[in-house]
Amino acid sequence: MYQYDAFDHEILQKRIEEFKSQVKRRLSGELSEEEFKPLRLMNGVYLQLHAYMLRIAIPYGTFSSDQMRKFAHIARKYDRGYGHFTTRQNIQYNWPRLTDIPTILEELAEVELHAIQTSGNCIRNTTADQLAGVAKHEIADPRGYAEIIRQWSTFHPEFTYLPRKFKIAITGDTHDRAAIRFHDIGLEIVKNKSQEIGFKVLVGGGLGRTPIIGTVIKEFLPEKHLLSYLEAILRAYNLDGRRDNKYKARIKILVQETGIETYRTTVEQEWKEILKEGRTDLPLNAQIRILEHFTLPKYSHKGVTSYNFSDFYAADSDFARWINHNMHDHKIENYAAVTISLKPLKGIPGDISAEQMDGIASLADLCSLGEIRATHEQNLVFPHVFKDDLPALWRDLEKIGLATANHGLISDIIACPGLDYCALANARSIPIAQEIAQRFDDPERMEEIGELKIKVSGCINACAHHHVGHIGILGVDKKGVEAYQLMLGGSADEKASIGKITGASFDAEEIIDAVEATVDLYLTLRQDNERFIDTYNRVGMAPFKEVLYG
Amino acid sequence: MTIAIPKRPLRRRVKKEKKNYNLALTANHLFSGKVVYFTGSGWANLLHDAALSLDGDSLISQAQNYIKNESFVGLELIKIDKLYNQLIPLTTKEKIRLSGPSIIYN
Repeated sequence: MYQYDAFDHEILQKRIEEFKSQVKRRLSGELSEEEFKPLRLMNGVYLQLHAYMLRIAIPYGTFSSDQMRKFAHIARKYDRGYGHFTTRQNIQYNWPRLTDIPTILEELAEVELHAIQTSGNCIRNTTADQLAGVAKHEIADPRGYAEIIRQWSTFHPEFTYLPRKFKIAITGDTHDRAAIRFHDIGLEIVKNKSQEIGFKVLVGGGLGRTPIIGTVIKEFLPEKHLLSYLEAILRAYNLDGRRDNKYKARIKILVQETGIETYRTTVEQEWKEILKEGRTDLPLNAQIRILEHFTLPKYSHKGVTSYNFSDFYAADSDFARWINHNMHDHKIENYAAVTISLKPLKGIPGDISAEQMDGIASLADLCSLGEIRATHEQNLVFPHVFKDDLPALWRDLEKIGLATANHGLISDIIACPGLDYCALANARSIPIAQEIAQRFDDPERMEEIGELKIKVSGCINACAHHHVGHIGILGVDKKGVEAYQLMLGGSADEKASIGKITGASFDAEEIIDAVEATVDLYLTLRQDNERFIDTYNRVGMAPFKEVLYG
Repeated sequence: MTIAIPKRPLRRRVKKEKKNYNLALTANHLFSGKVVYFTGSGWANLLHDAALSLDGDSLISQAQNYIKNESFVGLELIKIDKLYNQLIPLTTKEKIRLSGPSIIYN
């Protein structure tokens, strides 16, 4: 994992001092709310329905057991004993007092955490594949490049006031777990014919009120030119992106309005100028110094044959179910990565208590070399587990209520905080997710249904990525009353697609029935155990509309 | 296999007549972010204590005297209904703001 150097610590301390002074001036009345709002947003502080919300960055979703312990401490001391993992690999607290936030940030800085780039019209925290570095078929670990982007983009003077927020995602695997096609910039690590590492660069993807699949702007960008090319994209956007209408200000609108060819030409011209200046791309030694933080750790059981795991797998069907759904192949033989589902029955997707955080931290030290990942699907991952440790890990996770065997299944639902917390929401998301999970709370039925991704957003801003759910649900407001639109056929992976609305919206009770009817129809229509999304792609919307609306 | 077919949503008839709802002024406390309501002579945590008026401008103008250093933020007028002598916000959003998240953690 990346370790801060003296410069990182220094800029973080300066930022905290600056924000401490801004809060003090606001509380004394020296700053108006209008003046203060953009400043607090630059530090991850939102005002929600009931309280402030503080969003903390987890760069590329990788964090340590000590950082998890700090999250637990913050939850206990300054919040209400829990935190919420978001769909951008961050964590947020729903109840901090403004007066406590500077102190919270000081405490976070002790473990190299902060709230920078979690809000505002800047380059946000870069997200990455949660299996980065350990995925079996990965070309290269994307986190080193994400760290390079973090260092380049943090407080970049040219990109602090962009037309709108700007999100970058990166993966090193051809199987896209990071939804790169739905980001302002998506980066896929690829190799050219000479086996040199570089990036396929996609631009102008996004969700929200205008969902668009990103377009390839460069098939192969040499590794050494990552920053100069990103800078060219950002510079072209910063110059030409619309500032007259916030709903038209994202880069996706610019790319659609100008056309990808014109935009590419503009970017290439900018890039040439930047390359002439010759000061943006990292010198090779600096790049190597950062990438070295992300080499594989020393696995003490490397080469050891695993017996305990397979014996236990055969003997315990609950354990076997958990393994089947939550375990992932690993680069190193007899090691595995494991998803820890934050979607227990009746739980709140992404929420985790301080006690569970402490439990996870201890287990990470015991079984995952002290490393944890946050996923954009609101789960956690232990990336380095020796297979013989899996039975004990599973039992210990059960003790803290986190051994749910549902990764990728119908109850592994993404849900935004919705109208229960969010000032922007039109309808509640969490109770809908809970009701659906409860409706399908039968392990055998869930297994029969197979992979099915449901995503529930409380408003058009699409924090839960409803457009790319196999089944997506969007909360809308109908004269002050909650209603829900149903969408089918979305996908966030390498076969990206945007879901289509089935028809008229449903009320809160009807939407659960509508999901069940949709799933039941899929089970009658599917062939050869195909997934829901494959059946939908084969048969189209018509039979689903028929069963839903008659 | 039988397929559960949900009832088609009923088309609700839109009421044409306009009702003049009482208005209350709500905000969040600057220090804590807590929800507060304007009482006519200050701010309270309970909607029950809120000053009601059909004239929103008048409520806002009264409240100006009670916003020292802008220590209450996000001012908003909300529609209030009365049921069995209880004050009830008209929208789901304001109901949730009043009583907290509808889901309880743990």
